[in-house]
Amino acid sequence: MQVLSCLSSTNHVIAGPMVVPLVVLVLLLALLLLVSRLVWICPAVRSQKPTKRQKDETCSLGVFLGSGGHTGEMKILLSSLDLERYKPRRYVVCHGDQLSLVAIANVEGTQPETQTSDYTILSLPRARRVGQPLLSTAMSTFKTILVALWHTFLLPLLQRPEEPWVDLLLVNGPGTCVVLVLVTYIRRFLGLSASRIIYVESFARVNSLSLSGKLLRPWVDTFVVQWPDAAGKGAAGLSGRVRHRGWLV
Amino acid sequence: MSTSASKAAASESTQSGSYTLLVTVGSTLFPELTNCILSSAILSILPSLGIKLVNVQYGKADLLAHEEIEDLEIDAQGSGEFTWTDYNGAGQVNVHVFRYTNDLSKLIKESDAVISHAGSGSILEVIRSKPLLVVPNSSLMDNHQAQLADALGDQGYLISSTVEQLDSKLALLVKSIKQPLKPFPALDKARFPVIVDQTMGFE
Repeated sequence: MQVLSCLSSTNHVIAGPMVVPLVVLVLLLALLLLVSRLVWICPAVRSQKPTKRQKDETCSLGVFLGSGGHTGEMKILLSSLDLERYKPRRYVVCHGDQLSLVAIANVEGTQPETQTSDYTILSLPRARRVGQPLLSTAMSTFKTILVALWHTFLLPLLQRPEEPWVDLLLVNGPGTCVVLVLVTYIRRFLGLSASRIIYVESFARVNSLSLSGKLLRPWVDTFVVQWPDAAGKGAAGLSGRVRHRGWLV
Repeated sequence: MSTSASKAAASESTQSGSYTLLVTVGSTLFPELTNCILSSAILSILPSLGIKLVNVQYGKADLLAHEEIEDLEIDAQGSGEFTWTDYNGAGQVNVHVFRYTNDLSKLIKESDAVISHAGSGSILEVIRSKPLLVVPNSSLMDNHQAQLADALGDQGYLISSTVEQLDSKLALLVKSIKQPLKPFPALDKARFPVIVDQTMGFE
């Protein structure tokens, strides 16, 4: 009896200081799980084969239109795609980007700011303006994430949980597209059917990648460069996932 | 409005020169380039190269008020025109300046040669139709404009220049009106769909 009470009291004494290491241990375990899950789903580690599609199947397509030169290039990329196969289309633009709205109307053959059964437009708050200070960039990026989270993850999850918001997400550079890819990755992280992602580096990138390109390269299913050395000197930069088929614009 | 003004300037031409030159900096600004074009050093060689009209789209920049352009009056929109006379006898050149235009493609069509900043959008808009000289904007934070200009220049699709080399490279540009540069390949619309279809599992 005395021995027992002695034991329990020692237990009690030890439990206090043990809480902190325990929390740290649990956090470390969670982090380890998170990282191993990310490694497991990372296309750079293990590229995922697409499910076979029939010739007459359609694919929904998400397109991010960011700014100036990027929008101009995306317009040309879309002009070469079969829009009867890749539909319906969901365009994502930044608030107040009139040029991109005109580009969409151009591609779709409609008037600016209209929408049809074949396409819709989602407008996001801009994550970063040129020259914006770091702290306010963090705030505005957070706002962009929330809006993107609602429209491309939560709302589609409530409406049609079995499908991602689009079958294919096509991005080509400007900063805010990183946010869109991040949110699109949640379904993949959770093991749900997820969008496949293509990144097309700009024609302007001859022997180095843009910041968005560097960040997204390990995570997209297909990474396209328009100059052979953009992703690294010679064939070293190219692989099954990193493709170069010459100029696309 | 800007294009009607450019036509008016063209009809006033009295010199034997027949070429129209377009200078464009897109939606940004590049005062080093636009002010260089409007300097006496450059203006004085234009008539002898056979250039009768220069359209300068200078974007957000401020035009330096130097003496060469003292008779230039700029309106509220930033447009203006003047005739520059080279008193060494080479002749005159009409100059038309404006910040932006709604119809750059029309101005490109009306030009015999184009000088542009090295933005990829501007390059793509011109490179398949007119002789092109590009000047990379070295004040940009990440100077990948120079990469693109040099790569395309090395392959002979355009003439790459710095602001300092402009006087000598201008002669090359005018020469390429008669003897065209290597044509930039047409857009191959079969390339991109192959990549997309493979990514999505279409065979």
